[in-house]
Amino acid sequence: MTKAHGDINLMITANRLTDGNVMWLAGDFTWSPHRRDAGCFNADSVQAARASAARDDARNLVTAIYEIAMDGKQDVSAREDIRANQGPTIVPPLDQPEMGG
Amino acid sequence: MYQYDEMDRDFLASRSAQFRDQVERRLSGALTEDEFKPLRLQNGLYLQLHAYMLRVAVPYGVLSSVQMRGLAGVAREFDRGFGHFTTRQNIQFNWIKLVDSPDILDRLASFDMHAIQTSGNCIRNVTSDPLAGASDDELENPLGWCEVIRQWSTLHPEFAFLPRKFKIAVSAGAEDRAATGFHDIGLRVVKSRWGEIGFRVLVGGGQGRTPRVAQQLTPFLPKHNLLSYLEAIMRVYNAAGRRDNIYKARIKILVEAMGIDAFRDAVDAEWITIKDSAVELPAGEQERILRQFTRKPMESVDLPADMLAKRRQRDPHFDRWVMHNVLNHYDPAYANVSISLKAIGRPPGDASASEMEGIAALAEQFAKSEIRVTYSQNLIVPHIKRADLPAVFDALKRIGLSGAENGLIGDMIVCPGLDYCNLANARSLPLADKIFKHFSQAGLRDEIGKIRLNISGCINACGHHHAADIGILGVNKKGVEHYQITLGGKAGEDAAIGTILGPSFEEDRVPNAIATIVDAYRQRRLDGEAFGDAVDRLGTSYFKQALYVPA
Repeated sequence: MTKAHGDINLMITANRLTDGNVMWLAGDFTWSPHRRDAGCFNADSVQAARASAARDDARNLVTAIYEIAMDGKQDVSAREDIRANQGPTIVPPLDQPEMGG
Repeated sequence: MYQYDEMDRDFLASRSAQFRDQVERRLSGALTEDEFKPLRLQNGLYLQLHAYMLRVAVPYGVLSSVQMRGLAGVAREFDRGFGHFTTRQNIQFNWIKLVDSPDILDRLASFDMHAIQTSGNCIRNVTSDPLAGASDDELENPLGWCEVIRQWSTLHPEFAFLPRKFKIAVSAGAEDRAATGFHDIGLRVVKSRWGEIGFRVLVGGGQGRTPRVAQQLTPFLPKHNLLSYLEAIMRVYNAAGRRDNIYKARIKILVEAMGIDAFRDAVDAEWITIKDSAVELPAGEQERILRQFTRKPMESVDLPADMLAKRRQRDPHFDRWVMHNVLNHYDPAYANVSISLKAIGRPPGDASASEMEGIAALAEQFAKSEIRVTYSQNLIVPHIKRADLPAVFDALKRIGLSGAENGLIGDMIVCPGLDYCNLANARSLPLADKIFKHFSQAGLRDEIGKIRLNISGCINACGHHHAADIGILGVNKKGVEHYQITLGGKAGEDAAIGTILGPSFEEDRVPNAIATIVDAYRQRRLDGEAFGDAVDRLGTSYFKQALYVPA
C-alpha cells in the first residue's frame, strides 16, 4: 500500500460485477482482489482515480464503488478489515460429500 | 404439502427466463445498476459484504426431501458447500456469482422453488408454526391458509411497490411459535364462542429500530373473508403509509400515528367495499388448496415405552436428546424431531450440503419426506414414529447433528452480522460462539433450562434481540464493536420488547456479563421457574444491579 500525502487519504473499493467479489483500485488504476495492492490516493491523485473507477463502472467491470478514508496506513473500520479478508471471521460448516444420503 | 401443477411450473419457467434476460442486459450494460437493482432484489439477489447473496423462499418453512437435496446441490455447485437458514424460514446462499444466478433460478424451479419476493418492498414469505399440522396443541392446520396467502400475495400487482417490506405470520397452536406479535400482520387461528374457527388479526408489530408489539385489529375474522380483509389492510397501508422516510415507512408507524381505532375504521371502510366480493377465494379453489393440508390419521403403531426407556437409561446423550429435541405430536405414538443447527464451532443456522442431504435421507427413511425450517434457525422432521427414535438419533449422530439444544442457552437466534452483512455494525457469529463456549458444559445448560438468547449485529434487529429473554445488540463505538444487553423480551402469545439494561460491553466482556445475569437468575429462581418468568417477577432492576453494581 502506498503512503499518501496531503489532506486527502483514501482508498477506492468496489465489487466485481460478474461475481460480486471485493476489489481494490491499485495505484496504476487496475483492480486487485487484495487490499495490500490498494492505492492510497491523495489530493494530487484522487481525481484521476475517481474518474478511472467511474469509467470502469460504466464499462460494467465493477459496481457499488465507494471510498474509504484512511488514517495513515490503517483504515479505521472493523467492517473494512472483514471485507478485506475476503470472508467471515468464523469457520463455516464443511461439506463432506461422502456423507450424502 | 402443496403440490405444484403445470400452471405453477410454467409461471416459474417464465419468471426465470425473464431474470436471465435481465442479467444478460446488466452484464452487457443495457441496464445500469440503478435499473437492475430493484429487478435483482425482486428475485432475492442482494449484494452483500463479500459477494452476492441469494435468499431462496421456503414457503412457510416447509421443504420436501427432494427440495432439501436440491438446495444441497445449489450449495455445492454454486456456493461454498453450505447454506444459512433464517428466522423467516428461508435459506440464504452467501457466495453467489451474478453470472450463475439465472442457472440457479432454473435449478430451483426444477424442484419447485424460487426466490421471488424474498426481498424488496412487497409481501415477503409468509411464515408459520414449524410444527403446524403435526403438533398436539393446534386448533387446525394453518398451512393451507398460508398457501392461500402465498398465492394471493405472489406478484399481486397492487402490492408490488409498498412503502416498505411487509411480513405476515400465521399460528394455530396454543403456544405461538411463529412470533405473530412481531409481524406487520399476525394471524392467530382461534375458535369463537359459537364454535366457529377463524382468525384473530393483529397488526403493526415489528422489530428494527422502532420495535412494536402488534395490536388487535379484530378478535375474530371468519376464514372465508381472509383475503378481502388482508386486501383492505394492505390498501390502507399502501395509500397512507409513509414513503418519504424509510425509517417511518413500516405499517407499525402508520398504525401508531393513526391510532389503532382510526386504523381499524379505515380498514373497515375499505373492507365493506370488497367483502364477499370476487376478491375472496372461490370456494372450489379454497377446497383444492386446503385439501392438500388436511391432517390425515397416522398409521397405527405401538408406543415402545420400554425400549425407549432402556436406551435412555444406558445412553445419557440419547436421554438428553429425547428430553430436549423430541417434541410432541398429535398422535402419541409419533413425535416431531428438532434438529439443532447450533453447536460450538457452528455458525447458528448454517448447514453444509452433506448435512442437508443427510437430513433429506432421514426424512425419507423415517418420516414423510418433509422437513420444516424453524423461526429459531433449526430444522424439524415431523411425523416420526417414537419406535424409530433410537434409529433416528443414530442417523443424526452419523450426520453430526445429534446435538440437543432446543430452547436452551446455546440455541441462539443470530443474524449473519458483520461477517456477511452490508448493514451490520458488529459481528454476531463469533460472539455467539464465545457465549456457547462459556456454557460448554451440557449439564449447566440443562440446569439453566429454557431461555431465549438472541443476537443482532445492528439495530435492524434481524437476530430478533428485542424478542429475547436476553437480547444482545451490536453497536459501533468509534470503530470498536460493542454490545448492548436487553432483558425481558418475548416472542410468544405474550409478546414483549426487552428493556435495555445499561451501558454496552466490549465483545470479550459479554460472555461474563451473560453469565452474571444467568447466575443472578439461578440464585433467586423459584422451583421450576423459567428465566423469562423470573425476569417478570424480579424485575429488570434486580438483574441490572447484579450486572453493573460490584458485589
